[in-house]
Amino acid sequence: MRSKNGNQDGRDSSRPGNFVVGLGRGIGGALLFALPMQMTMEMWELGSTIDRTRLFLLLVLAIPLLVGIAHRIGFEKTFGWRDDIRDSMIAYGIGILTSAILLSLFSLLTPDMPASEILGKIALQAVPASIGAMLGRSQLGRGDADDSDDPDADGDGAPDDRGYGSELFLMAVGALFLSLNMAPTEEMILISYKMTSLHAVAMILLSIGLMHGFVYAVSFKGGHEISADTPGWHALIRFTLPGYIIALAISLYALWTFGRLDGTGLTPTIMAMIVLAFPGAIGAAAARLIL
Amino acid sequence: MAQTNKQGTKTRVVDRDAHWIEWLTGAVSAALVAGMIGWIGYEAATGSEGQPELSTRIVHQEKTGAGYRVTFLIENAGKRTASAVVVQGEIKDGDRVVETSEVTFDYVPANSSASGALLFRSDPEAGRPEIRPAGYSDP
Repeated sequence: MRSKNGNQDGRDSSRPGNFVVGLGRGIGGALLFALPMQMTMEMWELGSTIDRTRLFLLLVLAIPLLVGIAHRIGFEKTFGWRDDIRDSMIAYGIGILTSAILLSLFSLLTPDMPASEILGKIALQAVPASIGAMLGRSQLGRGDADDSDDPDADGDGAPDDRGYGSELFLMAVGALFLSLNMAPTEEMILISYKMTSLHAVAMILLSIGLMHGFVYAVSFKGGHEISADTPGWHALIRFTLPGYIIALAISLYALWTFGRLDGTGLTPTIMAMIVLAFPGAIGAAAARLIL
Repeated sequence: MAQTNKQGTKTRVVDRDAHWIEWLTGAVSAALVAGMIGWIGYEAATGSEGQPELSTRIVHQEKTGAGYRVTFLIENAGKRTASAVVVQGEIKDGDRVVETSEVTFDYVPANSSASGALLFRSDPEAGRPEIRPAGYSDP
């Protein structure tokens, strides 16, 4: 599906059938990743109450994000930005369409609603759904992806596409994914109000520990290793801590977007950020392994 | 940063030598995490277990279609979050209470503020609108 204009590895994706399969995977991904949000009450309310500037910013930021994902984890690296942009637009379209269909199915969109409310509800859901569609198209199709899909095996001698920047980008995608899912719920701020400072410190340390352990200690498939002569703390400083900061930043952005921080002082803001960064950190670590 | 092992699956290896930008990013991140823990530690040391200190302030009064709207700000100067905060407003004419109105805030976090409005039928300008927090629960 990624390329209609030729594919060297023999998977003939130029046939219309494969395009449909690709769309199907996209829809599958959108459902898999976005259903928890589609069925969350706060998200419906946010559709009409969210600050329109923040919604606009979210919708615009989703485009480079989708293009980035398409570029980093698409089927192949050989094709240029044009394909990435086309792929990401298709994913965005799938996101909008599945959101509209599901919200209508749940009877949340009715003709007597004002247009701005209908649009707001669909638009807000379309962002996570489109990320899901993009991930679904590349990840759900992994089963039939043979070795020639490996960017290292295509013989161009280029280094792996997984540079330092890509690694951080993937962590941001993973963190964003879980953060977007959980940030709209009241539980995030409620937990942060219940926690004491001691809880917060423990949560920070646990987040970092889990992130690090997920990737380096517990050897999952596609894991990361530390070369024999490298002390373990090198990976902690160079990858895990920046990853945690990314999770914190994304957590802050998600909370702000959903209006959870309005009028809130510094300390409660930091506490809420730490709470949401906990799932964010798990998501970031998982993204490094899965994507 | 990457190499292919015998099974053909990719394993990414962290090498000893790294670009300086990785170390810079790492150092900045470590500083931020340390700073955050430090801030929370400072908050803990200076006593985070206070009580909510709630106060209200009228921001604006205006006439609406059906009556009058009094917009106010509620501030929590304490170090503890209050939830289910009830704010009551009264319009008095001398000692006689002409009208009361009430609104509930889900949360007013520590050192934070929230805004809301009370609606009255009688003109608050005529009497004196009195807006005060009436109670809260711990989250």
